[in-house]
Amino acid sequence: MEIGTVRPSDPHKLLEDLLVAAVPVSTLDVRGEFLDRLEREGPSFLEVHLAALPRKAGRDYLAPELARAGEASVDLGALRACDLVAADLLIHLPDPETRIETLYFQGDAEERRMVLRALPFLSPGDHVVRLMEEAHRTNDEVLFAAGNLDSDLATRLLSDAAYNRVVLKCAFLGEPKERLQGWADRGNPELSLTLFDFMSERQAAGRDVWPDTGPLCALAPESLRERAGSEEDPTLRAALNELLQSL
Amino acid sequence: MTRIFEPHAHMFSRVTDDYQRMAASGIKVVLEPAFWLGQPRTQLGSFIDYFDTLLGWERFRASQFGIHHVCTMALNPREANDPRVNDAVLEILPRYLEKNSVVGVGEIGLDDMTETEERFFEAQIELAMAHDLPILVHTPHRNKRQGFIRCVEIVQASGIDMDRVLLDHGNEETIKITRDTGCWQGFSIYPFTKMSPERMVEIVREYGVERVIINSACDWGVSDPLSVPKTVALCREAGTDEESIDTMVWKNPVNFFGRDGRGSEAEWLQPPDQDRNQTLDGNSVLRGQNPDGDWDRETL
Repeated sequence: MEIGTVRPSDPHKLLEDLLVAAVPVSTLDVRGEFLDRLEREGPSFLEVHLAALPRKAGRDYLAPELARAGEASVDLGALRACDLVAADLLIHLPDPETRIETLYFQGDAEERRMVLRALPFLSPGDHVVRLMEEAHRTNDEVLFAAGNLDSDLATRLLSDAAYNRVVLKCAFLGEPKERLQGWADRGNPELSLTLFDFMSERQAAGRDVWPDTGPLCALAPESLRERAGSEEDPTLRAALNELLQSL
Repeated sequence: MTRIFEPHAHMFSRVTDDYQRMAASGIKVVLEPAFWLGQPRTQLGSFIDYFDTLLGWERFRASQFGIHHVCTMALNPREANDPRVNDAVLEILPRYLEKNSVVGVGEIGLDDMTETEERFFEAQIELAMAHDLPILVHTPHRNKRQGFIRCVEIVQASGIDMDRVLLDHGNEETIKITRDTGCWQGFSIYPFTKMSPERMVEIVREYGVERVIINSACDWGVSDPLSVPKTVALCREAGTDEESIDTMVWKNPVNFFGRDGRGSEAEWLQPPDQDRNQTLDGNSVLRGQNPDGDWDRETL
């Protein structure tokens, strides 16, 4: 996947350009209608009508492209036409920081997904992180991915502890590390130990090991070396040494 | 097997055995009208959680058994009489009426036939028109004939297109009132009360199936989620042709509720996503079962 052309820093212009390039005219017409009504009727319009966006703007996936959205990077191929239109509508809200959680919690599954997919286009802050963590908490794979994958939000905004839980979830689900943009910059000793523990659990159960365990552990292998030096269980010690040799 | 759209079932109150038997009997779509819960709710939050369940967990639960779940939303006529909740529920209803699995406004209508019920009935017909949705009308179980006449008067006065009105819980008497109004006529088939399958066969024989929709209205009480397939079997035995049966239990409800991009015959003929490894908010119906295992209820 190629980095897209340089995008304007103004989020409104950015989304407008992305929409014009990525969605059909009929979807642009829906976007225009929703923007008009949002301006005319105020933010409460979206509390009622955001739900209609998937059936009106369309659910077709966009072509894969890495786009810059302010500081964020996002894979457009993970978004549907309605997701991109929703992002555009949300950034037109007068104070999205206070309203997106209402839209999320009052929304059905598709509204929640759209709100989460819009997060990279919003100004980063606690409101974004809270929804990312909420999406993780639901244990719903679609919502987890919408909030935490296919952008660099997880690697840029989450604490080590929260980020490590996201990586562990990816390992559990078998999601490739590439869905966590910037993964190569977020290794940490605790993450390596966590992934090793998960790997050894899987091995003991005779189940497949997450193929990205090695590359992630290679980012911060010191904690594994320390543990190999002190591990008393011979099976675990051997597994640690085998993992370390493979890095 | 006859394809069936079950247009009135309170699955919130039913168990997984029901879903399995319904799927095995040809039911591909179940419509759950929002109604009361057996005893009065005392606060708005109880309605919000119930409405969210109809959009979330119940829809997911149905999908796990291969059935599409859609719903209608409303303040029901019984609780329309309750000042603790009626105005507040009416206020939040609009935000539910654009949800993709909400295919109508209902159950609205009359129960005790009070002035308050009429006020909320009329207000919700207006909401249905504003959101371009059909209405599912609950008619009184007591004084049914007068209740039907009053419901017809109210919907006709409202200006709603009668083609978007389904008057439910009808019988041999009420079809005489409704058949020339242009509205759709619903019949709830109960094991012992309301309409029986045998009486429904006679109605089909006498009046045909135009604008006729049958349902089980199964809920917390003595009711049968398989009453539609059982009525189909009886109709067939009585010589009703297959096209008429298909019209009554599939085409009619599909055409009535499947509009405005919120569902279509093509979508509903495809099985829903039935991946049993999925959860909704971390919850599944597995209870430790192997998601890929044999789900035949005889093995449970």
